[in-house]
Amino acid sequence: MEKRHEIADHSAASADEVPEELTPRLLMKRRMFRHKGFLLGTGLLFLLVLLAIFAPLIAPFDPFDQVLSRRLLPPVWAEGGGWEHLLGTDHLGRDYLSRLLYGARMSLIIGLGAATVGCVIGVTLGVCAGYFGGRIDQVIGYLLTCQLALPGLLLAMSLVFMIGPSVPVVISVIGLLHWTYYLVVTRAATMQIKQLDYIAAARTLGSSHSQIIIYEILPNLLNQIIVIFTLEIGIAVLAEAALSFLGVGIQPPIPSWGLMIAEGKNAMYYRPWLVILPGIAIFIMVISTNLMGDGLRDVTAPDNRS
Amino acid sequence: MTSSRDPLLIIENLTVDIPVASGILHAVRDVSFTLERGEVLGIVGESGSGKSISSLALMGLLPASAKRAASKLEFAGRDLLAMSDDVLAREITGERMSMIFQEPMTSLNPVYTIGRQLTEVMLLHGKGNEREARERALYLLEKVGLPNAKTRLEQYPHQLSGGQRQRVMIALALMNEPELIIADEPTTALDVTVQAQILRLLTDLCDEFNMAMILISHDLGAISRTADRVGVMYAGQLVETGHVKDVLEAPQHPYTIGLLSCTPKMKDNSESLLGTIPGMVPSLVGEVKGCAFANRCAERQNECLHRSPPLREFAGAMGGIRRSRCILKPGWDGEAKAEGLDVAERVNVKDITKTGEANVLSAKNVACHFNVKKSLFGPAQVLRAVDGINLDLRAGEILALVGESGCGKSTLAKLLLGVEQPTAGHIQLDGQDLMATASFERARRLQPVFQDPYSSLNPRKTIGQSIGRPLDLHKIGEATDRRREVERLMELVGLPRRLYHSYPNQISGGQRQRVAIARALIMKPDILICDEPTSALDVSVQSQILNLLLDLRAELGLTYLIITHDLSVVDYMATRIAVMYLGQIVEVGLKEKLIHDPSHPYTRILLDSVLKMEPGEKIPKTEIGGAFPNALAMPSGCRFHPRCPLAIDKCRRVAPELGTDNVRCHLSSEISSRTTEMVPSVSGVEKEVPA
Repeated sequence: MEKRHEIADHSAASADEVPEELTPRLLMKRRMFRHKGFLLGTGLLFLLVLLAIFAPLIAPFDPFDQVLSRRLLPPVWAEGGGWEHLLGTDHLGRDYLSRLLYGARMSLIIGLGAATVGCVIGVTLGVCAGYFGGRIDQVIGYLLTCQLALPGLLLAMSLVFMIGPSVPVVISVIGLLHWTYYLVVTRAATMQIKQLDYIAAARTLGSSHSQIIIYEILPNLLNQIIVIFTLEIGIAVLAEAALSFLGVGIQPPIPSWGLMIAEGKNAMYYRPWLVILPGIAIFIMVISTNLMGDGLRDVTAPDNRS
Repeated sequence: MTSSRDPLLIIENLTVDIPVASGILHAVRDVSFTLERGEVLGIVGESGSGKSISSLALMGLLPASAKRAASKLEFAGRDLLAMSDDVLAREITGERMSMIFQEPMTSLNPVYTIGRQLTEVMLLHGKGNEREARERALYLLEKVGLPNAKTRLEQYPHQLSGGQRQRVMIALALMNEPELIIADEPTTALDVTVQAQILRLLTDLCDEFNMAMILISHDLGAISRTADRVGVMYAGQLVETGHVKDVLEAPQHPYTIGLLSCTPKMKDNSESLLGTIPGMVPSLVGEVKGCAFANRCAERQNECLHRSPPLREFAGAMGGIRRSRCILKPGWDGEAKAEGLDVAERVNVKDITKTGEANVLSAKNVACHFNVKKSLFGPAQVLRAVDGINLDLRAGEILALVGESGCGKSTLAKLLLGVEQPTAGHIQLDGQDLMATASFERARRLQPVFQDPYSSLNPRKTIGQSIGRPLDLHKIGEATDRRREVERLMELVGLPRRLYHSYPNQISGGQRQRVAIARALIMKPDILICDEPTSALDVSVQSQILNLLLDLRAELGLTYLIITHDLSVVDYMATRIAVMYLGQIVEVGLKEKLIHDPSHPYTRILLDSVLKMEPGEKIPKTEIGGAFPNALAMPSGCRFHPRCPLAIDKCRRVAPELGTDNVRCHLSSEISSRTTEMVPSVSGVEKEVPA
């Protein structure tokens, strides 16, 4: 027996030598710094966060300051634009660059916050439905059907209207309305994973249900969750815009990108920049979370480890 | 078997390169062979040896990115190299050359009837009109042993069992009277009893229609009985070709010798260990320097590492040319080596365990029924996966549980592991009720090893984490102790220490199975329940794992319950055997008794269906009728009676009990006194349709 093991050992060792203590964490760090998409996405998002935090220092004007005589100025590169207002002004003569910078605060908080609330609700329900099956699955399935059948915007409106608009309320309401993707995807994936032998192995080791879910199932759902999370951030920002447009979201004059699109909509045909600029801002934010999410998936995914 | 002697297929220097992320994968390297009309060529090799790719290359079914090159590729006098894909599809493939795939469950389209799929092949090639195609389909369905062909034409694939679908696939391949059939592992997904029938059918059809066949398989037993010539593939090359008797009885290439020594033979009662081929199949990405087998070869010389070995040609004892791609000259003492490899004696088990008679785990009248609802408001049907099983596992023994797929053996394993709750009866661990013991306590006594090493490890956890998980969970020891213990276990099962931080997808199937075994052993259990521990592995790896299990048992005094459908593994490993059929044990007995003198007709048929390696022998005629029945509709009386060649009227009415002789059969006393003769019955005909 000794001899055979030696042979197996020897031949395997000759394949390629890996230095002794390359822990998975260290390797993951290395992969992170080599992944261009991840670096770009994280960098952009980091920049956005910095801009949002230091908005009072960077913004050239007070975002609430109305100068009605200088209304609807185009940005600097367009005809009639000036260097004073780099990105022009809105319909009340407020500096658009300053409003975008301040708006980043709201949009980041709401986007990330609402996506997280939805994630917690959806993943919890999805994993429970997929893992326990049977009655629990049926009840959660019914919940899902109800949620899909409800007119979301109407519900959000009435909810915010009843409780009163504030940032935490808007975040929770949007989160409460956007958990269905998480649920559908994690439920299906959990049902698949549940069949696999490593779950059975964990059970024979005496793991409890919660240990199995946390240690065995959730890490394997990470890919799907990351993808939906990045999608939901974009959706949440737009949902906030819709609420704000209807007057139950962020209350003017506080700027948010969604609200700016809503406000600029009236002048969209002759001052398209009013919509395009916050649109670009949202786009950058969504794309950077997407890149970061994809990168995170790549550097942690088992298939990319060979 | 061969009648005419003009080559049907000539392949010279076929290579297939597939670009992959890390470079170019040389899947097939320099393969040459010819095939006569009516000849059966068997191609054996382990997974990744390029045997499927070379046949796909012939059929023009390679992935779009793959590059095929050859100096000659001729089929029935036509040059396939000069042919465009269109012409190939129109005039050759599906018409004169057709293919049977491995997985009958997925190779038929579920939304079309059998009839439509059969006639389509003929209509597509303009070989006749609708009526003619239908007639041909009817004729072939009867030919392949599917009665009531008329009603079959209207059925959908899901209404047929796996064996029946494979018969339909064969009929499909024969629709246009092809000259060549390529069968890629046609029976790997099927049960043993069905396997023998399908292979027999294929060889009979080849004889009848004078078709040539390329049979690709990893199963040396099946190849030895079907093929006229054999080609052994390794790392994209044909390393040895020749007459089946020559190659399998007097192998020349060290790989062939190794492969043969790894295969459990079911021949004698030898107490020797199986041979092994150390190491792994090399990566075929990039240039392979020297001989691809060199790093695993017992006969390696210095030159092998640098120079590709010559392809030596010499005359075989059984006629024809033999080829071997090896530096060793033909006639070296290869045969002697093949014999001499089995020297390692296995440790005698009786010395290790003195308490051989104590029951450690026993099932008493255990049943596990599931309620199956076909629709939301439909009536619930009872699926009796396990139905009244009495089984004792004695300390120190290796009990093998054998049965076809769907007989409930995996459910029984789950019951014994305490993962599934029995509907009735109880399971005792050392006399205590298993369900009443705490799950941690149970985990320290009983551990599983699962079939599929790809799904039994969490892909997100490293090898070290997976093996050490039980210690974490049970809060045993400090972090450093745990690490040391994990490394000790890794060494015990033969895993290099550098794999500690690797993830499951970075290591081979055999290594994964070692990880699963290490994880099972780290809690120092005394019973291992192995559910098909090697059926997902290649033969050379299988022998490594089986030997490892035997070694570990000798070293740690373990008790095994091995669940498998592979009787050659059973014969190699077991001390006692239990045969299961439709949720019940039909026969239990010591290995020697059960293998050499089975009492239950089902055991007998199972053993007859095993394709032992005997080059030149025919496939045995098995006398089993019918397909494996649906567990939702249990037959009356004896559950085996619809398929039993000996069934009498009593069998239809009265269910037999497991008697004192440990056989569940009304006729057992008569059978055991009889000679090997059995009443002939309709063979190869499936009487029943599962729902």
